[in-house]
Amino acid sequence: MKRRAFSLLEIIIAMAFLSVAILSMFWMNRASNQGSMDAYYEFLAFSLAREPIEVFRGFGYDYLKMIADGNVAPPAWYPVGSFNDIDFSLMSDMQYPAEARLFQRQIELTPVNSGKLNGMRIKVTVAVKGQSRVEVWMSRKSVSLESIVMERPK
Amino acid sequence: MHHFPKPARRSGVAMFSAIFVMIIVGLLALQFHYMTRQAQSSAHRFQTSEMARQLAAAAMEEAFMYVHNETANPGSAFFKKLTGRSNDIDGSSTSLDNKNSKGVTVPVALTLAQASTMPMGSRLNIDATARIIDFRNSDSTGAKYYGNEGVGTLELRVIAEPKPEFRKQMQGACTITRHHDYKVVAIITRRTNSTQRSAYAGSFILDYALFVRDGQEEFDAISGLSLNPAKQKLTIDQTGLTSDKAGKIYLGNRRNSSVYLNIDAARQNFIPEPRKKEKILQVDDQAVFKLLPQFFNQVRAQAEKAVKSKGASLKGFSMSGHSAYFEYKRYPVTDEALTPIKDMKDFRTATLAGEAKFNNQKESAEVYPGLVIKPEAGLVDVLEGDIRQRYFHFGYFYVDMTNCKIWVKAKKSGQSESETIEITDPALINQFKNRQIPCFDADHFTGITDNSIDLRYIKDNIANTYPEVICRIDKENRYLQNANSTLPHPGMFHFRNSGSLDDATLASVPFAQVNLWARRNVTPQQLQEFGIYVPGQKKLNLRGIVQVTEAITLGAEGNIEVEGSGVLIAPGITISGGIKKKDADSACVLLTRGYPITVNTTELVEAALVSIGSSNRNGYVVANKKLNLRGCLAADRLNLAKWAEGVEHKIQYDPAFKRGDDLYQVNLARWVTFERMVEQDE
Repeated sequence: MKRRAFSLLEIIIAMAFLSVAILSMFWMNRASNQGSMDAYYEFLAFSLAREPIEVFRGFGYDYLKMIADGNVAPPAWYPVGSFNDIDFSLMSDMQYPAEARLFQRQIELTPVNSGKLNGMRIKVTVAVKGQSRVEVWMSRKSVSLESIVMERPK
Repeated sequence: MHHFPKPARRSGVAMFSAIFVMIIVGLLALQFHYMTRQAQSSAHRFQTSEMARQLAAAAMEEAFMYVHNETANPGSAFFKKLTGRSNDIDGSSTSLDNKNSKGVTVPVALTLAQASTMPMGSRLNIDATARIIDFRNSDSTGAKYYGNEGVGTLELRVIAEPKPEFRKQMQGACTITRHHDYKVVAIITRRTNSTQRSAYAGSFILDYALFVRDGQEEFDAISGLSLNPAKQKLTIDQTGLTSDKAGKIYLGNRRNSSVYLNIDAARQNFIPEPRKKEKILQVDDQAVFKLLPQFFNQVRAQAEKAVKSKGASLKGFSMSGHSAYFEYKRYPVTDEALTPIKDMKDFRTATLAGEAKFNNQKESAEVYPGLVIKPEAGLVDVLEGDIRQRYFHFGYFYVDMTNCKIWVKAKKSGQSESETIEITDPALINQFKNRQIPCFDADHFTGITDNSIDLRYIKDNIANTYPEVICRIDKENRYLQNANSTLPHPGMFHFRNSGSLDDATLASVPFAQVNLWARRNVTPQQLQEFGIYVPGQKKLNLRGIVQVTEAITLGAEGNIEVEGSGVLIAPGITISGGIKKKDADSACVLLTRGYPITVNTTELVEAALVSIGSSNRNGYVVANKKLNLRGCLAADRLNLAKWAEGVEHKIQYDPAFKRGDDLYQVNLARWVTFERMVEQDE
């Protein structure tokens, strides 16, 4: 009596299809995971870049010029001119997401002018710290954002 | 017969279950992937939107500063569009649906330059526009401001959006709309010298080289010395200015009253012709006897004596060979002009005192020259109000008896014919050799005149027909070389009222529309912080009207330079150094209300010095040193007695105040009154 069954070939073919399907799902899942984390860290990096621009806009041109000229020191949270860790303590007024520690930030102030108009160009670059997990997830190593704060009438 | 085993009932269930699970897992994975793509898209959108927002914010700041700077320059195209409310920028009467049809492009070169250096920024179009969305050219009572003056709202709009070729890849965009209030105020307003103003304008005072609002009160209170000072000399010099560029002069008289300037020797050509008139009325010998009663009595005594010695009776006496008539001459009225002429100063003083006593007025015994206004030929174009010249009209009785013979008619009793006897008394004749006997007004003069001329007889019998025979201090003629010309009364206006005023003391103060002031209640410290007055740089930066809370000193560090046009209002201003305008067409107005403006420098001051108050009316300008003003001077009172003595103060009118058109200033508020930001194109 002969029983009906799948042949080996059938099983192999089925397993091959199944493998492709499962691997595709895994790949898609991994890619989705990668993309989500990339988007998250990009979002975080951009937020970290935006923050000093907003704060510096509030300072106004005159104060920024004094900082750029070296006449006054920038606020401790916003060092100017070089990459610095975004460090904070739980007790400080300034709070960031924990992953912010995984980034470094550079704030650059450059005077610009056109005719009688004077402004201060602010460029903030947020870069991934080396040897951090962000390096794994984030596709770009740094993001930057720029704006200008104009001299205003007194 | 074969019996096939029945298939197991659950055969294939596992397969279908596995497939089902696979499908579910697959769907979840797809959903996860979809969400991931959404997250990535959101992150990208966030980045592009944030970049667009930052660039739009930068462009907005740049656009504001561009507009701010352009509106500081009355010659710029944008300034003219804004103040003239040209059709392309004025959306104040446009419906909201169509408001985007209005607006002029504002360049944002710095922002565009920055965007071009950014990988994603270079894919953006950044456009800035400005338009008027509201403008009020009348105040809260509905009274209209002058010309283009008013308070408005300027809308600045910046759109940062992807260029068309990148719109599929980039969706981030940003539109920022801001409103800034602004004020348009006229610092100089058009005025032609041949016409009067028809409505109030805050700068009306700049029409005048010299304006004394309460001049009549001051003039009357000190018997004219306000304009004819004892020890000060003030010259208003407009030499070289054409009549349409010259400043007006108003010395404060009310409509039905007048003020005068004393005529001195240098201006005796002002005195109307004829300045000398001979033989107005020739008189006979009998009239001479009536006019000169003392002489008549002497003649009579001698006649009686002669008649008596002959035993006759006196029948009368007569005179022949004499000259006797009334004449007049017109002289300057001042001491310096009359002192060299024998007795003339005394004659004038007697006339002056008599008139003053009769009119119950106080008059100084000394008479000083009045203000000097140059050029004298063009006075009819610049004088306003009833300004008169005061000179001495010397009416006198001329008599000369050098060749005179006096005859007495005597008749002896019993004789039918009279006998004629000549009186030969050289002493009697010699006292009337070429004499000018002043004819004072009998109603004014109660003293004894030379040879006791009968003033009452002259007044009652001659002066009614020939009034010019009487001495007088003449104030009937305008202060003009052609005294017949008339002078207009200035047109002035009560605050916000359209009707003109007769009485200058009721006139509105200059720059009275506080709604149009750029800044109020600024402290002297803030004046420096705002960069308006920077003593360290010796700069005064004017733009519109600024009111300061405390008295200020300008030029303590040395001569200062004025840039821009505007008005500085303070409760007391001291000028310690020269003031020089950077731009000849600009205007610097220093204004106090009820407080003095003190000038402590001999350096050239290029400014309008205005000290005119509304409730406090004691404003004046005082020059403690020789004043060298190029601008104009206006005050409640002139108060010349407080000015430095023994020097010649000079006011030169600045023709920039008669520029032929209006000079506006625009003050754009730093404050944002409305802001809307949307991360897409509207």
